[in-house]
Amino acid sequence: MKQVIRYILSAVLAMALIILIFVSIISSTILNEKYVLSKLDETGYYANIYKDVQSNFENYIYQSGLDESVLENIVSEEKIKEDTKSIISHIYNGVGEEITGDEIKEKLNSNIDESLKNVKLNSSQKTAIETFVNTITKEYTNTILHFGIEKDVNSIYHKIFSFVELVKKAILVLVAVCAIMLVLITLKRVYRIFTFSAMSCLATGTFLIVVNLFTNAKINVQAISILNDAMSGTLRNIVSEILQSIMNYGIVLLVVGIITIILANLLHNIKKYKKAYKHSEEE
Amino acid sequence: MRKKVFEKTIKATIINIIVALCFTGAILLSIYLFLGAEIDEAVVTVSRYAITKEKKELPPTTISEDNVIENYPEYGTQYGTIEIPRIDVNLPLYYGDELNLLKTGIGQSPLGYFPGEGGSIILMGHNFVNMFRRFSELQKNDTITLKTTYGEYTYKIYDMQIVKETETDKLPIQDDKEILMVYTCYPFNNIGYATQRYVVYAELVK
Repeated sequence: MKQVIRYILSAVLAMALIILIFVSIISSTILNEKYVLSKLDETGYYANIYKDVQSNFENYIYQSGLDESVLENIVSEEKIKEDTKSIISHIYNGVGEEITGDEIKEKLNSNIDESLKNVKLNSSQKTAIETFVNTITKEYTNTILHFGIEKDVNSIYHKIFSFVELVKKAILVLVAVCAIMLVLITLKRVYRIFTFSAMSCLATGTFLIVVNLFTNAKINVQAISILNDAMSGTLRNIVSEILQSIMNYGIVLLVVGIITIILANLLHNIKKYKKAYKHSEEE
Repeated sequence: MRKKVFEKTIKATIINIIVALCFTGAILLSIYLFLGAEIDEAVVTVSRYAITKEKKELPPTTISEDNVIENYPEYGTQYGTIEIPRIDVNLPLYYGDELNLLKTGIGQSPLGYFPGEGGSIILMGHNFVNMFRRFSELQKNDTITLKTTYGEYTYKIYDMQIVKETETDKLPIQDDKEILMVYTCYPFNNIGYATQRYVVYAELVK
């Protein structure tokens, strides 16, 4: 009976470890604001968005009849970084400055005024310029915001974050309970504590490796494309890193599990035969 | 004794490993049974965004005698040129109307037909220098030639109109008559966002 309970506890421990590892990876990556910001920096997100913004602006300047110089210095990589950080802050903390594009509008108007200072504009031309400025500003905010749903994402994020934290605590308690029970019912045979714990590690490690191989076989992560090159690059990097973490945990647990099983069985058998040898000598 | 210890250890280790693998199998099986459909759906959803960028060699576009095109050009690619001798235009012709295509050539709206198909064709281009800046110089009976990868088509201009950006009914798609409609922003010396279009209508002559 005790043996069956040990196997059940070992299996439960393996499942708890799997959930704990997944939850830890998620909370330290996509649910972590600092991690996401570092990834945006690392993958050159701001520079790529800056290129996209410039290219989109150029599409409009060609048909506007205005000189290309009016687009000079209306937006910078620094401004994009600042606005992106505000969006990220909205998503993770629910606070951050609104992205209005007012600064761009102001700079663009000033550049156009400078460029057309010797031109007398009629009312329809003034309206056309106003529409052009609004179009450019809207183009910027659309490129930066992508969906404009950061407030909705923020409420979802908080729900997920709370759930993940709750799961993490519950699983930690479960792991502790399983470990204590395993110790209690195996008190006289210490090696078995190690063997059963090692089996849990081995099962968890194998599972994680299978998950990694399955995901890589089914999805071509390096080809993921969403919205634009900047977003796709960052997403690909994050997904690859998560999969790599899963693989790393898997390999470590697999190796630790196998070594512990071998050592525990070896020490147990040596002890057992030494005892038998001593006993036969005494007889 | 050493041999016995070794044998026993190997045996116990193998049993433990098999049991551990059975745990893994059981966990995987339970996940498959409970979440199999959801996992498949998630894989399909994510795979939609995993686009392979390897370009496959597409078969050439051809047109039959009864005006049926086979293997349409890929969206966003150049499939010909447009020539308008009166205003010295000789530009790349793209299938697609995205602004980035219009930087270097003339775009074809996917809403219309292809040259030679027998329906209306809608083309557009910017009005800046080296493109359609001299569009106002066009006159009735001037020719526009579209040289595509599958054939050459010449059209004769029969009308010109200035329309509002929103007047899409001025660019009607006809299924039974090959009308070429080419437009650009108007006025030509416009400043700011142009809300009018200068449209040239031409019919197929060759």
